Amino acid sequence: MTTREQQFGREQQFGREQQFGREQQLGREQQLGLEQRLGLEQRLGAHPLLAGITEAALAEIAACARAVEVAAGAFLFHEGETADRCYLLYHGRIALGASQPGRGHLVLETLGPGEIVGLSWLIPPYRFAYDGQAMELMRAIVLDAACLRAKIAADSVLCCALLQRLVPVLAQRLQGARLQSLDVYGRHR
Amino acid sequence: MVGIAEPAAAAAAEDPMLPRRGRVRARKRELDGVVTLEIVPEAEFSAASAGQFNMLGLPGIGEIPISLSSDPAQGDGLVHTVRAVGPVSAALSRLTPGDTVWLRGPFGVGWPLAELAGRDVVVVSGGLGLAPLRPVLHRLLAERTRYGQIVLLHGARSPTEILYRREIAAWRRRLDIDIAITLDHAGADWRGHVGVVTHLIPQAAFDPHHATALVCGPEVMMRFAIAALGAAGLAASAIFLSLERNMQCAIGLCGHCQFGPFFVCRDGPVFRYDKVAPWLSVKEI
Ligand SMILES: Cc1cc2nc3c(=O)[nH]c(=O)nc-3n(C[C@H](O)[C@H](O)[C@H](O)COP(=O)(O)OP(=O)(O)OC[C@H]3O[C@@H](n4cnc5c(N)ncnc54)[C@H](O)[C@@H]3O)c2cc1C
Ligand code: FES
Repeated sequence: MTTREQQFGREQQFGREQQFGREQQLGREQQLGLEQRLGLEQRLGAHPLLAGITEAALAEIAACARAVEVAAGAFLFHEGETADRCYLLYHGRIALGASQPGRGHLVLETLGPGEIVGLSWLIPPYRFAYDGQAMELMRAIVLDAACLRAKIAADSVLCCALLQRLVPVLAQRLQGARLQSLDVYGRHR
Repeated sequence: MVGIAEPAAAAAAEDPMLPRRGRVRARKRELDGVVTLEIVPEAEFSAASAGQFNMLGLPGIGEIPISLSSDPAQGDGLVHTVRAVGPVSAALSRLTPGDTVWLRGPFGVGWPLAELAGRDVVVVSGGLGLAPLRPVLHRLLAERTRYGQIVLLHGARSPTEILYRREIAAWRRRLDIDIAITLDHAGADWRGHVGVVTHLIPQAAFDPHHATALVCGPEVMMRFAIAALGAAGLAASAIFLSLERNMQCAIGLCGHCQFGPFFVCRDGPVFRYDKVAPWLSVKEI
């Protein structure tokens, strides 16, 4: 374990054989039995982001997925790191933040169950734009970005189904950020 | 804003344009630039219902509408929370116990408390918009069994700008109201939500088909909140909002508070969303 990982806690993974990026070094890995694999697909299907998606698309996405459990306080990723994954949260909350000299670590947004964390995997050069830290014990499904990108490059139906779900999230986050930047509670009610 | 003269005490009870004298009994600093005043009228003064407002005036300075901010069923004083944004509100927020303030009211249409029985109630507030909703929350919690889920979603600027912090903590301890607070800005020591208040709506536990939402805050925040409530499945007729417009007479005579075909002072400030929706997106109305 690196110093940073020791400092910020340990990620426990209950995942597929395939391992992704930095997390590979962080956690305990278990091979998935068939039951667990089905459980993962079910959990994916139950995530609001994938509501209504076809079974075929779900199976494709599940091939890039594994479950992960992250301890409170642990960082999922840091600003500038390769965005080689995203998280579909189903338990706990995470804080997206950035450090500002003289002001410490600022929290820009918190995200909770039913939400997707990490959208930078969609947009070159695929670098996380913020730090992501678990505020409490967090459980999520991690999707491997390289796997997902390869699948959507090869399958336009899957690509369309995913983008239809991700673009509204991007729009909602943009609207939220704009509203926050208006500082409406400043002098106004 | 109307500059008011020393009123003739007699006949005041009948004439809604004649201010009556009140005395500040207590002053509580809530936040930077925000105080809550408890005012005792010298003569009989009708009690306001949740969502109604009084005109508070200071001779030679002016008179402004301020909502009732306490439980209408509690105490004999009128409780108002004031944010200092300009001359009148700043002068009001400098008042101390014993000072005189002139009162007219209560005015307007309040929150539809009677219609909430048996329903889930979703209260969405932003900044000082919690003040006109506090009386509702007190009423709902006083008769808790009459309602389904009660949810309070509140947005504030930063951890030091959360209104009625202690009261919110006490409500949280009751466990029969779901409360979520979200901030625009926070440091790493804040353990709650950060982001816009609309973001809390999809996560809140209520049945959209049996819920009524009460929304108060800056108008842009209310428009976004209403869109999010609609997306969560609430009908436009199940959403109420409190509007603010510049006021002078407060009784539907001068037209200063006109909003489309309505006068906010007389037909509002609380409106059912479907009634005012066509005018909400029209600029400068
Ligand atoms: C029905 C109703 C209920 C209200 N209830 C409350 C209440 O409970 N507590 C409270 O503090 N205020 C309340 N207000 C708002 C309050 O009436 C205004 O803040 C007040 O009129 C400002 O008067 P002023 O002379 O101090 O400032 P003004 O000279 O009128 O305004 C000074 C500056 O403040 C800005 N401003 C004006 N109104 C507001 C506002 N509402 N919020 C932020 N900036 C503003 C103006 O654009 C201007 O730049 C209510 C308004 C209405 C219509
Ligand atoms: S304030 Fe005069 S009509 Fe409303």
